[in-house]
Amino acid sequence: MIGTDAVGVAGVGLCFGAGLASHGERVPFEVGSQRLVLWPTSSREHGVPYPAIHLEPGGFDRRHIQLRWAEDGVAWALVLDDDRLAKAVRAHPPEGLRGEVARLGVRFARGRVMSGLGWSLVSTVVLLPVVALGLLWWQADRIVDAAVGRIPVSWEERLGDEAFSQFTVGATMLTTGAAVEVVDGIGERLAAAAESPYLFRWHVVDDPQVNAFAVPGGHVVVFTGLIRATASADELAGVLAHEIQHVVLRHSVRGLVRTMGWRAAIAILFGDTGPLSGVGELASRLGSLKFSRDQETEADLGGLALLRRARIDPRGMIAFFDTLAKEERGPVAFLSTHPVSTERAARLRAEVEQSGAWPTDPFPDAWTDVKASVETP
Amino acid sequence: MPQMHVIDYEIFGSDMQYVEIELDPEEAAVAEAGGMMYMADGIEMETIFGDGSGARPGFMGALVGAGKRLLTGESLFMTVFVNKSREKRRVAFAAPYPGKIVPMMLGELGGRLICQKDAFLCAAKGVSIGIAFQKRLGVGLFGGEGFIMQKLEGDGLAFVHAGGMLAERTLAPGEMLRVDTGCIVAMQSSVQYDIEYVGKIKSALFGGEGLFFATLRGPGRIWLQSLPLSRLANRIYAAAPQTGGRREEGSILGGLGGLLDGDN
Repeated sequence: MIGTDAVGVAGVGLCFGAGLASHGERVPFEVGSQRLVLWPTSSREHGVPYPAIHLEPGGFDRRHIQLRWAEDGVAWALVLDDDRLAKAVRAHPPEGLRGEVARLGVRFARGRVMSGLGWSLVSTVVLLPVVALGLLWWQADRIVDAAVGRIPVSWEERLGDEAFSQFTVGATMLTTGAAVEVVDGIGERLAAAAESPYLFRWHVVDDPQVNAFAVPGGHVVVFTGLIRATASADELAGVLAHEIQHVVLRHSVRGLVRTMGWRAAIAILFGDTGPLSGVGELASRLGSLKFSRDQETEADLGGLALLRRARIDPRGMIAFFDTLAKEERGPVAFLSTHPVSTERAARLRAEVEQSGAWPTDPFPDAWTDVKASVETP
Repeated sequence: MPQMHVIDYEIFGSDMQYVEIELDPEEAAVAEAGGMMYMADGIEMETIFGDGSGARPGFMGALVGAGKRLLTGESLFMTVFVNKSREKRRVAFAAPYPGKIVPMMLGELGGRLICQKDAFLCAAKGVSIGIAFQKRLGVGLFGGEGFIMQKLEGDGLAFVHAGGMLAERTLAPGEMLRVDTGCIVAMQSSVQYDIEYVGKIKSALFGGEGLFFATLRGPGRIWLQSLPLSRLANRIYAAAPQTGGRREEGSILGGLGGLLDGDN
């Protein structure tokens, strides 16, 4: 099948034209130096001059090369649906087809660019929520800071009063006795040193849990179980200094703003239901646990600084964490969202070592008497 | 090129058709799982992972083939019917909804056919059933049928199914036809498939034909169906007294795609 003008690529393509089946026929061809040669039947040779031919991208996704021309008013086409063949023709075009091949190359390139642009656009739209969430995650602290800064202290106090009154329902609050007096005394000494806009109010609840908590606005509740677990007034002062830091640093409100913000962001980005919102919810929970541990560490260090300003011995605070560490497996309720006690003690110890000891004014109270006053008969 | 099995067939029925295929000894046909109607004694049925064409040998090849089938929304498995007897035996496959069964001699059609993804019914063993992934954005997004169509390759006989009446057209090189996206059944791979915006907002909103047409440009033969199953299903669903809603089309745009693609 080698013609007189054979120099170029030869192969078999799908050919449409006069005398061929309407759905096309496989026809051998050769891209000669002067003309395209086809053999519709093995005996008949059919030549097409190059100036008549133009090239088009074609096929289902326009990746084929189609050679098109007209003869006697009938449209002909030779489809190169074999990628290797098409590549060979584009790589080594005969003189007469060079212009067409160059034009085709431009069209393919333009198609690739448009398609790339389109796909980038679609992926951007799809990925945008994820990126937005990432940004939010990255800048969460800053956003929360800005939001919390706008919340007035009075609003926080109302919130705290509400939370505290809910807590007192069903709880046995102690109003008199050595424990109440001593908690009040230590608390006031610390509050005076803290110099904050909050009015602290100190409460003791008769409850065996080793726990203490602060609500926004200044209510601090100490459980009698905590008093029993401490060995000195310095230890209790350490815990109270920690709780004061929670109030002063507005940790509850920050947590609230953070959780609500995440909820809103997730609902906006993923909708209320569906698997993605579940994943977002989980991420936000894990995030808030980490947030909570960070806050605890912050309160520990702030509390230590407060002890220094109030001239209270920091060894009590450290000793209390050592005690907690020993009982870590016991019924110590407030540890779930907190760092491990041994770590907390170690961090405080390192901090004290770095800053050096400071002058202290010891508490006058006889601690055994205080503990005895809250001992259950 | 894997060995193609040459099979004889006969199509029965007018609007609800089935095709009966005659298998010589050791000849086999592959079909979509669940398409079989009856088979003679001596024909053995085997479920295979992939399409059995052997186009991609080995376990990984089968896995890739099956994964692609999963993409087209079909079952991972196909069923092979092998005539294990010493005589000719018959097996029949039925169309799943009213329409026509179209025999396609792939060898004559250039060895490759692009089908709508649920059009394939059965084929001689050796025909490879793959996916044609539409990489061009507009076609994929607004094509109603999504990004994915089926690609039948080989030179044996394959049967595809069209809903309603079948229209077979041959497009000359450069000739163009605008088609509702849901009405395409199959086309030769030389046919160019594009999506065209209707262009007039008024007809898009009130014409009920959707915002986009498919444009098919020759050369090559195309097969169109007068009644896409989705269109029929929409009417049935809308007419069913216990349903207040409507079924969505299988576009990746979901509800939006249903609004756009015209089969409302």
